[in-house]
Amino acid sequence: MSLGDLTAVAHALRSWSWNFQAFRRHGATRPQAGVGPLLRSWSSRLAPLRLIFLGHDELAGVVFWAGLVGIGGALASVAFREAIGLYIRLFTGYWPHAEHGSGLVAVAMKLPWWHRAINPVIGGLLAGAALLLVKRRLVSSKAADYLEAVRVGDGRIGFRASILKSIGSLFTIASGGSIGREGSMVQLAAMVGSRLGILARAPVPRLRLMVACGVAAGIAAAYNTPISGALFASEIVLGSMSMESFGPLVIASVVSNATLHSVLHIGSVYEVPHIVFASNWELILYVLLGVVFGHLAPPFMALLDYSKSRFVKLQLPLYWQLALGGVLVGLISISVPQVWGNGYSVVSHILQGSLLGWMLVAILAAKVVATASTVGSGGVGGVLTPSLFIGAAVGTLVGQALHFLMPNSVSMPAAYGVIGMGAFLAATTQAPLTSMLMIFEMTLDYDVVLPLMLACVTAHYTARVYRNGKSIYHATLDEAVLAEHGDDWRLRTIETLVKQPALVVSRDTPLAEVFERLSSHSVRRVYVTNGDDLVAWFRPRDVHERLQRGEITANMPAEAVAQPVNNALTPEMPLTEALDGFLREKARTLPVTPGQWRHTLLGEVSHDDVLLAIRDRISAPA
Amino acid sequence: MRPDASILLLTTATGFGYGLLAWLGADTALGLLPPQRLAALIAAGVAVSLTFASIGLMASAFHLGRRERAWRAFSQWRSSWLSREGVAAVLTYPVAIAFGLVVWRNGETIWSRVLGLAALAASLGTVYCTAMIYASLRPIRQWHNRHTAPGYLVHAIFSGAVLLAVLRTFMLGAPGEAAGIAAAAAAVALIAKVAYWRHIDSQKPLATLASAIGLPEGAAARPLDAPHFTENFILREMGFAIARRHAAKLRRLALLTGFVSPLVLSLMAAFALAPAMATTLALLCAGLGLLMERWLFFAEATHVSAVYYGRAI
Repeated sequence: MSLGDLTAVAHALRSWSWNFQAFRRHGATRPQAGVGPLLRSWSSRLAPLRLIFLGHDELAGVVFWAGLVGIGGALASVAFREAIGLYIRLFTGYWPHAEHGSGLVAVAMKLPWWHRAINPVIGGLLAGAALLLVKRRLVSSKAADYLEAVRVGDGRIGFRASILKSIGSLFTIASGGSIGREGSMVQLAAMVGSRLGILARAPVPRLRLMVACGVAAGIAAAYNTPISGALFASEIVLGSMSMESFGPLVIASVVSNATLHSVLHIGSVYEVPHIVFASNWELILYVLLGVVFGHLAPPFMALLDYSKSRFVKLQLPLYWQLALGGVLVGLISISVPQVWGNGYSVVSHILQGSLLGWMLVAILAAKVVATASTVGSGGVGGVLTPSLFIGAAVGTLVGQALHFLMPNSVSMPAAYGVIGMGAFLAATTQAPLTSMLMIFEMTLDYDVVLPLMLACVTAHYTARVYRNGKSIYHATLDEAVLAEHGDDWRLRTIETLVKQPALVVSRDTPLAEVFERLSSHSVRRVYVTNGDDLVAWFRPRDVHERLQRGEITANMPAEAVAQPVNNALTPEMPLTEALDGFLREKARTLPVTPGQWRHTLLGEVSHDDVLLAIRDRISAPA
Repeated sequence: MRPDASILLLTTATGFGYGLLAWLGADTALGLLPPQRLAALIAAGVAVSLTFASIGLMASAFHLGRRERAWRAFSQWRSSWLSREGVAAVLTYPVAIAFGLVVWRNGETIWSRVLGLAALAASLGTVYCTAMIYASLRPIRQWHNRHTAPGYLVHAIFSGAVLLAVLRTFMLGAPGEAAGIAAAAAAVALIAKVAYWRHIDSQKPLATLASAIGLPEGAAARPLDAPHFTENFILREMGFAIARRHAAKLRRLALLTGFVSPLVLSLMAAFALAPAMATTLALLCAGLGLLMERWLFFAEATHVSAVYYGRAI
């Protein structure tokens, strides 16, 4: 289902419920018609549905859109996965049989050595050509990166730039580049979120939330880990944990995972053996393991940065630069084909204990160099999967060494491998909570939780000493953008949150006409004006009830039933002051006027949007 | 003539699509395809060829000034090659679909052979009509010659052969004899292209400023003033000129990417050296090279009306 189809469905739902309303009103005026009461009772039962389909200023609306983002994000990631398979078949003649992961390594092992050497080079050339198109043709102000869009942008992600970047990433990944495919899956899902948000005419803070929903959906679909998908989005992308944002993220993540299961029947990404721990005192060893990984992660990130700067210094055209990265990966893969791709299957082998000692050291070293050349040459993709690979390999090596020293009193090496994955992830991403849950969700083994929690937190604290606590993700944020704008782009006042009110009537409009013009019953406020000036407002629902009780009649003017406006906001009002207004009035929406002495109605602002914007400011990257 | 992106895409993409359809039709009619997964291969092939053709035809719509009048063109088939092309393109769809469905449902029968022949005729007929749009224009010497129509057919057959090799590798795991055929087709297309370029380089201009105003041969004439102060339609569309050295460089590049590389890569695939990668790369190179070649076909063409503006044609 394309984005266009989703749009059509959304429009159809809206117009359907609108017609439904019209029908209901029509039925109400003719109660003697036989089917009228029956339909009315049905319509009142269906009324809660309306909350979901109508109105983007409702939380219910956010839930609906988050679900849509979940579906869209999952389908985008499935499409990306299939496209990778197609590319591999076209360029190697083998289908990557995906039992665990992409199966790219299995394909690599079947190929002759020279084919292994050439394939990443061709992929690099093609990827460079695609990325060059992004650079040359698509010079737009819209961010192409989801983190940038949420953290320093207005939540808008360019459609064509995202697609082209994903194609570039696809060429890199499918041709054997040592990089994870989750980066592009998340990018595509975030783009779907952003597009749907623009479609829903969401204000900026909410648009950012929709992008984060896309990220959650992408992670949930890429790794089959719904909980950590939602956590990743709130820990890394939004940078805060508040219930306003977490709810939609969870919905997007769950819907995405469910969609994935109904389209593809995939199990867990890694095949992890059941882990038995020897004793509780071993927990001390896991704390030490966390410390080790805390010290290892910053050098790894520094290596990636160094490699990037070396490649940039060569001043080659982008396609030659990527092809050069491909040459390096190709040369390494002649003797170590395991470096190809994201290495899901290799991690499974490592954890099952089929790679031992020096063999594992060689593969680990080759993988680090290959990752540095792919990422350094400008390949687009995720660094999360290579991090997991390195964590698993180093952890297993430590486990094997300990086992060699103390054969009877430590648990199996795979235990250290699994905990190592979590610890390294926590140290590189600076997101310990996400890392813990992600590893737990991948293994689905409750026994790993205690050592995992300890190791993740210690690794996180240890790594924070280096690099001012910056994660691998924040390295991708353009420092220049942050330095130039500071946090000016973040909302200080409510100006951009102002929306057009649903209905404004003049003071002498009869109530009958007001209800005639009311498009839906979920409108919270109707504003009454005198000329341009706002004089009063009323809740249509209350007035409707009073009408039905016969307290007032339908031909009374609107002014007679409305309440005077005590508290209006001004556009230059700071967010917190606006929040005070909401608390004083105990209202969900408030009108906006130019100032204390001028009462022209500019629009209205909703409580939820102000809260989101405040949360947005609090979570600013300091 | 000004090379327009939509026309470049039209002529190359339809070349790939109808070329593939022609090969599928001919191979089925002659019983040359391997029996295993024949139905799937033909069905997928017809789908791919119609996709390519549709992309090309849709791209051509962007070239039209008044798209809402396009349907009127279909009525002028008695006098216009463009109209005949449109009619032939539309007629090819049912033939191709019927061919694909019959093979998909019943496998190889007498009907599949008959429909294969029909698909062959319809697809090559459409390509011929496209070529004749250009070959029928007498004021353009680079087009109005005996190389144009055969050239278009040869290029379509070549691009179809390359595409078929990819399709067979993708569906069946190996290109079979399709790779060898693609290499041979690349060689023929290469020769045809070189022959075409040699021919247009040896042509005499259709008219000069002197001959246009009836001066005897050997006399020279020059305009005293430019006929227009501003650029007009004729200069924009027909006055496109390309520098000789630039053209020579592009010709070498087009020959290398569009013909020599696919030839070498198809030979590689024919000798079972990484057939999947070789055929796919051959397809990419052929696509890129044919776009370049087609760009030159338009850019190098000179219209006799440019003489009025002092251009040498």
